[in-house]
Amino acid sequence: MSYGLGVAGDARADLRAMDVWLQEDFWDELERIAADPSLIVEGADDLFYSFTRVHAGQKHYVTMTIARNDQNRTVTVLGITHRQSASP
Amino acid sequence: MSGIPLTALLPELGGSSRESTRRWVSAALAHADALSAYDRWLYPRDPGRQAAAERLHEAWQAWVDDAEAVLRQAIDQDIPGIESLRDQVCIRQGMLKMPPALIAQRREQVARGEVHSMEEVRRELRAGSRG
Repeated sequence: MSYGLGVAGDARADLRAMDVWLQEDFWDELERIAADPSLIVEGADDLFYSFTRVHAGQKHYVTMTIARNDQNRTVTVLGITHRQSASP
Repeated sequence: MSGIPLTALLPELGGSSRESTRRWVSAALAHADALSAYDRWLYPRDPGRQAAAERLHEAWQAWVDDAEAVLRQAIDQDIPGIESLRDQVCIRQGMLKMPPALIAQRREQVARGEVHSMEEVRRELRAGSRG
């Protein structure tokens, strides 16, 4: 069963700093996690998760910290960062 | 990896052979693999474990500094594993921008109810990009 998705107040500013196309890929990735929370390790602590995309000759690295709450069945994004480097 | 920052050591030793660079790349990847076994300790909810998390982040910062020195050494060389090393450096640099104290503040925000649904944030961002 899918989990509900949330974004911590200040994490919205992290998202705003990303290009629109990458924001959309971010949502897709998040929906994938919500549909299958086993993609992130279950535990008492918050988790670090990353994914990459290649776009216009650049490799983009999106890193996020996620709180998974199995009681409330929610996945909450606490922080997001983005880096890019020339794709080989 | 060596205890001495590679940022200082490698340039001092001058040009390295392809074989020695390959070994540094391999060692850097092995070190990252060993550190990543502790990823679950990066963002503890228990305040008593924050200090250990801070030290783990410091260990990753030292690794990133060393790995960047290895990447500079390997520039223009086709070394196995170099792309994996570059990926790890970029991912961990992103992680280091989110220190445990920052994530603890965000966790407190969520506990106070300052959390937004995905739909709400998505709408807000789409409206912002059009405006």
